[in-house]
Amino acid sequence: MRKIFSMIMVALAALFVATSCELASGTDPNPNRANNLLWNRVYTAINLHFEHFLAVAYLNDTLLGKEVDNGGYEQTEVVVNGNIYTINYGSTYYARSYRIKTDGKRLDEGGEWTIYYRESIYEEYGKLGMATGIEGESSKFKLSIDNSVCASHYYAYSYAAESEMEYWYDDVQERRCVKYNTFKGTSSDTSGQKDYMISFEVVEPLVIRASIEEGKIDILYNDNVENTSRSLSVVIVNRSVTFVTTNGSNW
Amino acid sequence: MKNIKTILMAFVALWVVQGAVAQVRERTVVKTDSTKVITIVKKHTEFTPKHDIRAGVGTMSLVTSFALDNWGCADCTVRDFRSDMANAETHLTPRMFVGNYSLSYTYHDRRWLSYGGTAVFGASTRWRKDSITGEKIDNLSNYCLSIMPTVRFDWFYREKVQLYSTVSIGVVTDFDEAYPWGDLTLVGCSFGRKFFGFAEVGMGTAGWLRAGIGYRFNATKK
Repeated sequence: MRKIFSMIMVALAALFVATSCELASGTDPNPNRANNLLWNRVYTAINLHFEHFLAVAYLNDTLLGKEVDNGGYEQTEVVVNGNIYTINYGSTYYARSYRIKTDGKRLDEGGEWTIYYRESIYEEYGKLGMATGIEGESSKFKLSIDNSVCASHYYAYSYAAESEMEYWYDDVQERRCVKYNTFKGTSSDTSGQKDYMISFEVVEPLVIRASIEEGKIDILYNDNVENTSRSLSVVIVNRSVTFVTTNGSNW
Repeated sequence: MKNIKTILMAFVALWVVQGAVAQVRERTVVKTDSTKVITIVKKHTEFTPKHDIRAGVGTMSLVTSFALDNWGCADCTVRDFRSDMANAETHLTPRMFVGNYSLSYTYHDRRWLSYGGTAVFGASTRWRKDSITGEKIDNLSNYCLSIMPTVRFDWFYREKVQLYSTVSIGVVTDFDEAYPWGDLTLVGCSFGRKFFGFAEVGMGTAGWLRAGIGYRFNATKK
């Protein structure tokens, strides 16, 4: 009887092993995932802002008569129509395009430029933001961007940011580099319900050459549904990123 | 090659037909030797109806894939940033299919016919765990249960070995919704007299391959 019972147990164990299978793999525990998620969003917002900055800086340099490369970017074309400048990037049909309407002044004359943007020729231009010059400063201006109106449908989220920067052309790297002295922004979902909000602020100047090289950014995340929050500081030294969680998760 | 195939098929067909006929005929054997005639009439024992109880386990099948894994998309929810953040400090264990477990009772009424009912329970397991403490915080397992009236046809019957096919039609539920469904045993084999084992090839809620053990006993005493 004992023998039979053992045989049954062995048989059932073998059947269990034979029939069990993995339907989907698991995920790895990663205590830094929340920080990475937040930083990825802010990093993307900074990169988008940098792209917009390049277009404005390119036009600024063109109006100043500076013959510089466009910063390693795709072919750039400027079409002038009165005070309206159209800057096209990329291929014919999927060209990103900026339409910048000036008030007749250059940025170093304190000009205020309105920036419109479209992702491809199939889209209409939508207002993206403003560039405000500083009198006497040829390589400093303020840039205010809000993609929630014109470009929210290109991305799964919106972002708005205001920055004040100075930039220069690096002959060695053949690209424009920028130092954001101030940079404040928010990022949220595009639903309009603002279920969450990410706020970020540069607290130590952010330097971008080929990539973000140094700076310190404070990030605050608010879950408006669960009423929870999380804050994080990102310190970048020599392109090396370190997270400092200033307030741990409270959910 | 074609002839061999034909002969082989004919042999199998004959064997099946012979088995089926053997189930109903009474066998008479006459033996002779050189001096005298000895006649032995051996009557095949009459069939006694039996109760048949089985427990088995089966592999994955299309139905269980649908009920337990949503065709491979059990975890294909639309993710958004908020839920990613809310679950950022957790991780998922693999989704494991842990088998289809069946329990059936049939009344073996005639040599060739049994009827009764089958219940099959299948499960896939997955947990969300806290990445820091390792604690289980959310059960993402899926379960399904099917309950089906069953008819079994024995097309080869011996006391110790039986070959059969089974049809079951009923409902399967994932404890949220219920769907009409069925199960078909194309070929099943049981071996053993009272206490027996069985193995089946089929399709439906019990899995592609099933095996298990069972116990049968006479319904009426002689």
